[in-house]
Parts: sequence; structure tokens; C-alpha cells
Amino acid sequence: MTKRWKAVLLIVLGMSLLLALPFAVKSAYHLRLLNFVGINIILVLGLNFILGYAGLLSFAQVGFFLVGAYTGAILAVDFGFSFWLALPISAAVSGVFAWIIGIPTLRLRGHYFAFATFAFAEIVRLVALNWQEFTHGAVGITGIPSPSIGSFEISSDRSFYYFILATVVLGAAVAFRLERSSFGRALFAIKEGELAAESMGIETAKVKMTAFILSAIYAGVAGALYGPLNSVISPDVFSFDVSVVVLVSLLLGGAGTIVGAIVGSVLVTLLPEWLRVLQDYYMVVYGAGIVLLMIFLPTGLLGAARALAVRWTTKPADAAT
Amino acid sequence: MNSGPILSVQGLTCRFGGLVAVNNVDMAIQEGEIRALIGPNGAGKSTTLNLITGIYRPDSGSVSMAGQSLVGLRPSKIARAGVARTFQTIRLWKQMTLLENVMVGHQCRTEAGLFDILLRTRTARSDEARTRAEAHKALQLVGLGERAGWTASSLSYGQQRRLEIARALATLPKVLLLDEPAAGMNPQEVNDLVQQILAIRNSGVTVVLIEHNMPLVMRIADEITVLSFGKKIAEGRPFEIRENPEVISAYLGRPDDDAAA
Repeated sequence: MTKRWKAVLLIVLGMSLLLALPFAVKSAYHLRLLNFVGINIILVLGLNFILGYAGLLSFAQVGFFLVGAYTGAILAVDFGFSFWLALPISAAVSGVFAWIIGIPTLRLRGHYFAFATFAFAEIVRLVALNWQEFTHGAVGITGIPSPSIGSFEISSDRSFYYFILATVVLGAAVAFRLERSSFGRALFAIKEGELAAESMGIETAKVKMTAFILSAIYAGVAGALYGPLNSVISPDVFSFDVSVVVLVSLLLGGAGTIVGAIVGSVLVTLLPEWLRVLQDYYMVVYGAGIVLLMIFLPTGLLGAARALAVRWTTKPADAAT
Repeated sequence: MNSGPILSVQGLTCRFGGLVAVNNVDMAIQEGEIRALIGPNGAGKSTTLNLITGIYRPDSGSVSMAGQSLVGLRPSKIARAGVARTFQTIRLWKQMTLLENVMVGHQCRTEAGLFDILLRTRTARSDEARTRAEAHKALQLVGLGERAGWTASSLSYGQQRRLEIARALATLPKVLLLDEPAAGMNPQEVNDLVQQILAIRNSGVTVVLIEHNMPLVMRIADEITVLSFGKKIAEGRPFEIRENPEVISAYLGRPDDDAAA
């Protein structure tokens, strides 16, 4: 009971801080940055399904992000769709892409799957770059309208902040519920030993496909939000760098944990800002930091925190049994 | 009640390159029996289990379960058809708790889909409660009930073997295949295992086990099938097998091939 109240208290406290945050942030630039953090969190929560739980390294996340962003932008700008209709369609189209490329690629193992997903991400970027008539080519799509609720337009960074916050909370809640379910256990079992999972009656192909589609749906939603927030999208935004940022976020925070995905996203998006004082050496320090992290904290910050917590709370008597 | 064998294997053959690992093996296992599969190392016992459970595909021959052919089905489908197994090299999900390991085993008997889970529908809740109950029951049966919340990696070797049995039982099998369940167990654990296997059989599950521990086999098997170099060389009741000269020579070698030993 007390534990539950503590959790409730923590959530209420955290939410009030998050709600008050835009008023504490002075510059428009930093508010925009916060919104990018939110979008990154959605991408990383998605990646967590396929990499964190199922243990499959996917570089496709940026590809699904692009598909979501372009679907939303094309529907809104060229076809005059309302944002509220474009958003679910973007998510669904990303999911369908995942299903189509998942059929051949999910049979692949380990780094072969990683390569195939990397290829997918590159292909969609090149298509977006070259299919002028449909995607507006290298120039990208400009003038993406803001969503509105009735007469209220979500156009300022502050109003967008609350919209993205709500989406992140919903996304995290869905992930949380799935994690603590038979579906989450099946994914984890596949990661720990696929042959055993299949032999115990888990339809591993189906479960992996579901995780892959979920990861794409999250990325599709992130993309559909990104367009109106930035009002412009172009193919160069969806480069391999995004894959790296998303991947590092998850590994830094701790793969397979929702809190880890969030903490990692926040740090990786904000770290470059904090390291800016280093000027030219910033990338060196950033890169070295990631190497050190992988060596000393292979389970991420959250994994390390858990290990510490276990060490502190386990009495010697417990450890002996 | 006696409407033919529950698990039937006919002409089962499997080649790995030039090696015929399983060569034209026939077996008819009756409902409710305990069948032991014995033979020297490399006789094709584990390969036979892998062929039955769909991990390998036979080059020829048939496997059928109460009349339904299992050849060509994915392992998950075979498990759903009612054939569960344990592994010779333990394949638990080591970072998960005992309870979680066994709950995954029961999952193939549940119906809740993703939307049920997200919306916590009645189906999802009742599935989860039933899965939990079945898992506790299976853990209890193998004597690991008190350790439900431990991680699988914290168990001793013998306990891990029993956890594998619990996990397989949670799939509610009609036939349970055990691949060397007593390996690495001390005599006390072997005794417990005998009781547990008998209890499993008495609950209506047909048991097929591969085992090198002969006293255990002689104690519990109703029928024994002996394989050597992929071929079935004998089949019968324990006392028949014990005196079978073919079997004795397969295990101990003929007087003239001492050099090979």
C-alpha cells in the first residue's frame, strides 16, 4: 500500500513539474528543443519494443519516422486533410510499411536483420529525395499547417509542448501495459531464447512482427507530430544520424525499460547543448562517452541503477540463501 | 478408450550429410504410458525428439498425434497440438522469474489479443489470472512452489531441469517429452523426480523420456525403446530389455570390438 502511494505521489509530482516546465524555460529555442526531446522519446519508446524487448537491432526507426512525417505532410498540404485524420493515417501507413518489410526481414537473424532495416531506411530517404512529383524532392514540404482543436490552434511551441507531452504519456502508458502482459513476457522470452519460446507454443514470427509494427506506429506518430511542429520537412532530416541518436538514447537509458527509454532520450537530446562549451572537441567527448558507457554500463543507466538498488537493499542474509 | 496410439512415429528417417542420425524408426506410444528412449550416445534419441517437435524436419517418415500429422508444422503449432518438451541443454529464460518462465508456457492456451491487453478486457484479466494459477500449480508439482519469484538463473542445475518440466506442463500437454531430466541431479533429487514423473502420468499425461540413469528408467518405464546408431534395436518391457543380448552388446560392446571402446 505505502509503495503504491509513493508511486502515485511520484507520478503526481513529476507531472506537475512537467506541466510547469514551459513556464520555467525562457527562450523559444529551448522550448523547441524540449519538443524535440518529446518526439525523440516517442521514437525511442517505439524502438524499445523491437530492440529492448525482442532483442532485434533495427535501424528502420528513422525510415518509419520519415514515412509518418511525409504521409502526414502530404495529406495535409497536398490533399487538405485535417491533422486529426492525417495522424492516425500516418501511424497506420508506417505500420503497413513495417508489415511489408517485416515479412522478408524478420526471418533474418542478428546483424543481417540490422543491415536489412538500415537498407530500408536509406531506400525510403532516397525515394523521398528523388520522387519529385509526390514528395517535393530535396526542397521538402513547406507550410505544414498546425493542428487545431475547434478554434484553438496548436501552433506555439508552448501549446505543442502540452500536446507532445500528452502523446508521450499515452505512448508510455501503452508501452507500460504491454510490457507487463503476456505479450511483453513473450517478447522477453524470444529475446532470451527463441527456440525455447517457439517450442513452448509461442508463435514467435507473429509476436516479433507485432513488436516491429508497434515500433513503426510509434515512429509514424512521431513523424506526424514533427511535421506540424517544424512546419517544414525535407529528406535530409531523416538521415542515419537519427538512427544513431535513437539507438544511443535507448542504450544509454537502458534497453528494455520504459523509464530508461525516456531518460536516455532526454540526455541524448540535451547533451550536445551542454557539451557545446567544448566547441570543436564536442564530438570527440560525445563519442568517447558512448564508448565508455558501453564498456562500463552495458545495461544503461537504469540497469546500473537497478543493480545498485539490489545491492543496497539485499541484506547479507538474503544473498547467502 | 483404446483408440490406437496417442503418438505414433513411422519410418522416421533423418540424415545429416552422410550420417543417418535416425534410420527408419517406428514407435507407437499409448495414452497414459511412460515410454523410455534409451541408447548409447549418438544413437539418435535427441534427434528423434527434435523431429517429433518440429525443430528438425524428417527426410521421410511420419509423426502423428491422435491421428493428426505433425510433420511440417512449426514447433509452436506442435506444442499447441499437445506435445511439450524439455531440452537436454537447458533452455530457460534465465533473466525471468520462475513464475514468468512457466506463465509463458501457458500462454499458448490463452486467447487475449493486443487490444484485450490494452483495454484490460474481461478476457485479458481472466487469461492472466488463469495463467498465473496454472503456473503456480505446475511449479508446485515439481517442488519449486516457494521459489516462484526467484530468477531462473539463481537455481541449481537440478532445479533448472525441474523448472523446464514445469514450463512444459503449463502448456497443458497430452504428451510430455523429457530429454535427460535426471542429468546433473543428486540421488535425492532423482527420487523426487521419479515421484513427480509418476504424478504427471497419473494426471493423464503421456510421458516419453530420454534417460541414461538406468535404475530410474527401470523403475518407472512401462515400455522401453532402444536406439543404436539411429536404428531401433529393441523394444519391450523393462525386464525384457534388461536381458536382451542386442541391448547389452550395444551398451557394453561385443567381445571383439574392445578396441573401439
